[in-house]
Amino acid sequence: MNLIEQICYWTAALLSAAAFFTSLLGTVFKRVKPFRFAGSFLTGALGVLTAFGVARWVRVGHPPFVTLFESMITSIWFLLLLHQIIFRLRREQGTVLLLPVSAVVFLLMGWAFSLPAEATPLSAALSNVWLFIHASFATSGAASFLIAASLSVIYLLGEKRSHPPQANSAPPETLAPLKTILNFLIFGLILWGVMIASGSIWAHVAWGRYWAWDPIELWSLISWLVYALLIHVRLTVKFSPRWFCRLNIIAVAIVLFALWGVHYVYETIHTYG
Amino acid sequence: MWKFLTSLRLAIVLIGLITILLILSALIPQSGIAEDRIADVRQLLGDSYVIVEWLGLDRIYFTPGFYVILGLLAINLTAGTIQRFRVILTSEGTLWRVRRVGSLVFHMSLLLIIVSVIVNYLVKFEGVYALSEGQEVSDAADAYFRTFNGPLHKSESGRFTLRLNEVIIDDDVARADAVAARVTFMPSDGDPLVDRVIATNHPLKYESLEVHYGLVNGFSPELLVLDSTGSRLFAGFVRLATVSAEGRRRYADFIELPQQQLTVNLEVFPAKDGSETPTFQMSVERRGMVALDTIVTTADTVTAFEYRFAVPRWRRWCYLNVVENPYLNVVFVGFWLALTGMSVGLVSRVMPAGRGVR
Ligand code: HEM
Repeated sequence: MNLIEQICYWTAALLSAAAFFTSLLGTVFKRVKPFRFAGSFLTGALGVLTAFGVARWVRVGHPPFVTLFESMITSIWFLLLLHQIIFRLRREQGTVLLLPVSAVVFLLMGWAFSLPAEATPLSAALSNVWLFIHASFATSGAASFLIAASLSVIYLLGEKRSHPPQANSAPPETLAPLKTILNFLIFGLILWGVMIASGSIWAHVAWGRYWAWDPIELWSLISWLVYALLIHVRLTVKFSPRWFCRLNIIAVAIVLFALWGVHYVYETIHTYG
Repeated sequence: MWKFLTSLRLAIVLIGLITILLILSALIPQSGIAEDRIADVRQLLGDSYVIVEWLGLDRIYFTPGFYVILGLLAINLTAGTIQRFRVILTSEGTLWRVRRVGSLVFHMSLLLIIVSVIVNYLVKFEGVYALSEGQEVSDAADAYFRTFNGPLHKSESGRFTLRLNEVIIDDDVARADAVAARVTFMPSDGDPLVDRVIATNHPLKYESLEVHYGLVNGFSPELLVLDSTGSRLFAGFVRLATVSAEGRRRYADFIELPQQQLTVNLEVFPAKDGSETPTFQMSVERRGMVALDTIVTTADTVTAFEYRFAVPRWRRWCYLNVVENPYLNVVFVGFWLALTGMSVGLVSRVMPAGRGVR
């Protein structure tokens, strides 16, 4: 990373930490003001991380999709972007999301920092349109699942009466409505589905085998089926919302494993792995 | 019975079962896919590994059970789709029907994907050649290094001959995927010959066949073995295996000469940028007694026991995958149909019903 990238990276990390801290304060002391700070901190983090991505893209010549580090940074960026959209459209829900989202962003940035940050040249196999489709839908899909998981955390916390002050004693249902969680699940499934489809078409174009039961392909398919299972379980009415939210959090752990955990455990043909 | 076939609960059970089987296949190394890790698991489990084999957990994708579940899911999907189609016809409210249609298209395309994947698997053809530069092979079953044909594939060979002219290493980025192969493809039914450079992402296409560069390349040194009278005991280009271990790629193998009970171990050390001539590490053994272990260049001749050894020339080799997937584009159509259906379903879910659409 050159100087500009390092400045942007660390500013984004600090802003997300500040957002986490202030939203934690707001939650614990039931104050509204800290949430406003947290909101602008996360907006700042999104801006600075965008600058980081652009600076790196200009320096290296390809968008940050290739190395594990870049894939994580892009996921964080999509998460911040999705949160920003929610924050603008539904202020109350956006505010409630500040705590889990800033926590996730801060943790992911820590994990990303432990990975080699050096950009590798784009090799022959990777420099083609499918990389951008495959990688951008993977990272945005993960972001959508993370939002669904964050909403689930709020729903579970909401049940324990420790939700932000201004929502007097609103039941968790209004803060993190299960319908919204379901919509983010389906949205995530569509993005993740495009990732699997484009990956498979690309593999066919690249070496003539559209599905090789590679560990990353396998765990991506498993994550996709787990979410499809979750949706169907949600649609059989009798299912308890609390368990639905808990399964949401477990499912997102499988997605994060599929994206970044697999290479710790398996040999995989995915070069960035 | 109809109620059971269209029940959502059955769908949950089936998807759940498939998910569990896939997770098991990710934890237990599958034969033909993660061969190397099978040995360690076999050692780990000791004799209880027999249970894994008996249940077929080491080849889950090829057990009948897997396909029974997929078949049941296909039936469940079909029944669910028909039933939901009826619901659409009888219901009103545009938004509500759009969501149902989106979901209907999604589930029907899932069915399309499952069926076309299985049908394509049954008739697909996939042959892997391991060719050294200059080598020409016909499309005969025994010419392939390995084949992965579908069980119902009717293999009519002799459709073409393929020659690997040259393996081109891209000097500045000397990585496996920066390699290309110049090939000549000669159809046997009189169509004009095709001379093409193929590489990752750039296969050669001929009718329903595709020839892909197969990702792995290596060295084929020419090994010459002369006896004391100078007559040739062995002369030929020997394709050395390419092994990638701890992030490093090694080109090493052994050649056995049974009559003379000799084993010749050869390893190639490519010159730094891969263009100049590489050097060779050669060792010769007889009944466990190593008579020679030395670095050899193409100019040297070395003696061990009463034989003389030389590596006068060398070539490169690479894999070329010849594939034929007749129904693969149906699978890909299924992908995009499914995603469109689900997107339509989502958009109609998110759109507020109140906006005069009821
Ligand atoms: C691998 C198999 C399956 C997957 C991946 C899957 C996935 C999904 C997804 C993502 C949704 C929500 C999106 C949408 O509404 O379109 C959904 C909805 C639904 N699925 Fe499935 N499904 C599968 C099999 C089945 C089967 C076998 C049935 C049996 C009848 C079924 C019945 C339903 C129903 C009734 C809905 C709700 C439709 C709606 O909300 O309009 N699914 N499924």
